[in-house]
Amino acid sequence: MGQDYLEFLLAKFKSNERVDGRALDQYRKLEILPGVVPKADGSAQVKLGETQVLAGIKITSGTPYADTPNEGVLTVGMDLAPFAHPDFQPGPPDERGIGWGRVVDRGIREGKAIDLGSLVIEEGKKVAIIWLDITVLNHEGNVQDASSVAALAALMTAKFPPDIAEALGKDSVELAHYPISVTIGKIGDYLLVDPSLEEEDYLDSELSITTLEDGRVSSMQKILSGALTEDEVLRCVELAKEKSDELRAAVMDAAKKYKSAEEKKVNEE
Amino acid sequence: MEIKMAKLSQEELLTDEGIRTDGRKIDEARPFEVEVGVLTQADGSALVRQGKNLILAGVMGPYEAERHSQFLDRSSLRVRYHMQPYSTNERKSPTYSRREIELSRAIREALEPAIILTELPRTQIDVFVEVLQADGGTRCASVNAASVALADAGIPMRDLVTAVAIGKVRDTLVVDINDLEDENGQADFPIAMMPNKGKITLLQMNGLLTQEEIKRSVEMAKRVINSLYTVQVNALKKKYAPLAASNEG
Amino acid sequence: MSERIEKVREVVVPGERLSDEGARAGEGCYRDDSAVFSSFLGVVERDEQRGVRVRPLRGKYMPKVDDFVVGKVIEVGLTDWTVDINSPYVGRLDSRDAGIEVDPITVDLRRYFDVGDYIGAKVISFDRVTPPSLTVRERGLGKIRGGIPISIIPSRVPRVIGKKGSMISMLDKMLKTKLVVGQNGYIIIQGGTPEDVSFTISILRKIEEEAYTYGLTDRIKELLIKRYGDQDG
Repeated sequence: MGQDYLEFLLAKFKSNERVDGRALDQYRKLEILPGVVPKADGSAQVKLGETQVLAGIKITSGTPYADTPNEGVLTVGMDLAPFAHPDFQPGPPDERGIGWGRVVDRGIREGKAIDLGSLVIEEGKKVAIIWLDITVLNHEGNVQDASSVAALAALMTAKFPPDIAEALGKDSVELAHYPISVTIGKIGDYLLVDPSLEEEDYLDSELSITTLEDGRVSSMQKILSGALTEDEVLRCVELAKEKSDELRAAVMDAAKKYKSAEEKKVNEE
Repeated sequence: MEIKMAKLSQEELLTDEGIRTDGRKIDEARPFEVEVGVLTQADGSALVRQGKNLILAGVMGPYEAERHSQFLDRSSLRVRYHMQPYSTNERKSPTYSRREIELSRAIREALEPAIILTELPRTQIDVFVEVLQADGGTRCASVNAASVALADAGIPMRDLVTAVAIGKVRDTLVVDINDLEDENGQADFPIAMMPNKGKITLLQMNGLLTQEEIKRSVEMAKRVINSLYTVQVNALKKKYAPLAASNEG
Repeated sequence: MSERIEKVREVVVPGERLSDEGARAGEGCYRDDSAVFSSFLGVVERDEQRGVRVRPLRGKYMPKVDDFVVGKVIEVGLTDWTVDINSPYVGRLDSRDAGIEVDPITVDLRRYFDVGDYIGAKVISFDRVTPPSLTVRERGLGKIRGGIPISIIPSRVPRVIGKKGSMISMLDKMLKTKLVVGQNGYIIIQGGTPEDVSFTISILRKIEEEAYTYGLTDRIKELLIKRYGDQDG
């Protein structure tokens, strides 16, 4: 029976169509809502089709790590709400959840998206600590990319609390780069971006590639037991570049709209 | 923000004109919104905005309970109340706290009387509450979200459950307290009811109240609960009022 | 655009008062003092003889004796199979109720039904305290070979069947696929091209979504004619 469904999927892929009507290289509808948690220093809810994640940021001050006395600290946490999928259990994230968090973390860190040197209040003694926590609210596939978009949108719209803003001499987190993860699944000989949960069951392998706005790649992660050819990997890298541009433009647009609405609010007060 | 909120005096909590910190009158509840069926993986769900509270409740089940936790004559209800690290003024540690355990129990016991557990022997029903943003009265807002999510999951129930916290500031009873009133006020009195049954299912009180104040608090709570209940019912009906005429043809 | 006025059925929530009179509390309701209240989020059906009842809008399948269900084998034991029937209660199919004559202890039951297989079965007993028992020892029951499984909300299956089977016989006649419909909401779509399968899924989703509107059969018929032409003539 699973075989019948797989054949049904493959027959559709042949005419560049998926069960939900998308083309193979098409993302589901993306919605980005910055500022949904005003008590956080930055936040964004992201809906990718029916997949929903929420990223929240708190910024505190504290001591730097001993080996990086002149750098601020970024901590990325991942929480899987137990109602987000029947397999999710209350408590700390499992292997899968930790994997998603790690890819977001590496994408930002390796991509040097945040200049950690700019977060030092007093060298070796006091730095700003950015706590980025991502909550998966509903898992309908590709939590990875939804999380990456939410993280970036939350960072772009985050504001330092007044005391830290004063100590650092700036209001908001400045980003040097804009990392975006694009996840590509492989079923048979077909590559499809943004796999849905239904498709995930049939994936041979999956590759998440985080790309910066200049095309450089800041993280790659293959999961599942299947194998990819060299040519497929290169096609994925190309596809990731193209798709990340689309997603990044959507984040930029949402952040810009949010900021101008906020400014308007302040001016009116 | 990481600065500790300054302690407010009773006079700051309530002006001579009877106006509260957020501009409300003493008997005025906060804006209350309910959205039903916002998740696809949960069997039932509801998002509640009560003041600045932003709370998402999801129900998983009923499903067959593990043998060791099965009751042969009824279902067992599990409730987990959990706050996200970014939901509070000061970042909350992700570790599960004693407060969360206590509140989980209070919420479970507020909901249990409303569920017809004997209809579902040997099963388990899980209610998961995630606090995305906390204001005062999170347990009441959680009850309000959870009871709608249970109905949305198709669980047999005697009634919905609706809750509100009454407080006392400047020796005056006020309804639906926010976090400033919760932290600086003279009493916090959360009450949950089954509105059609007139029965109270959650009752806790911190602070000092006279016998007369307790009586008046319950009356005030009842009035607010009735209006919150209407919002819960409308949200459920709006979601599932069958699609009216389609435009085809 | 035609102006069509749809009659909409009455939606109630748990605890809502349905009747003050001596009306009988039917399924989905309970009596408290002298009044009848709903126990579910559901739609109300009032009947002079049978009293008032509420059909749940949501929720899992509650097994009923004699129901035809579509189940998915999730475990193979020494003498029985455990079957997911979209219910809080997992079904149990004893090897005797599969008509297996040989000693099941010495024979691997996987030879008959393996994990992941879909079966068409009938509920033979259920009392909530013991698991629902299934049988496949009747004509038309047993392993379902091939097809695309989908799942709809169980309380909406009656609309897929229709009054006296009116909807299902129309679907059988006009769709290019064949449907195996379980009362538990699991449906297997067999045959047809991938396009036919996609169209069938969209029709089933529409019936599920608009289950509680009037005139649904006519609207579905229009869609079928639009797609495949009028086959009545």
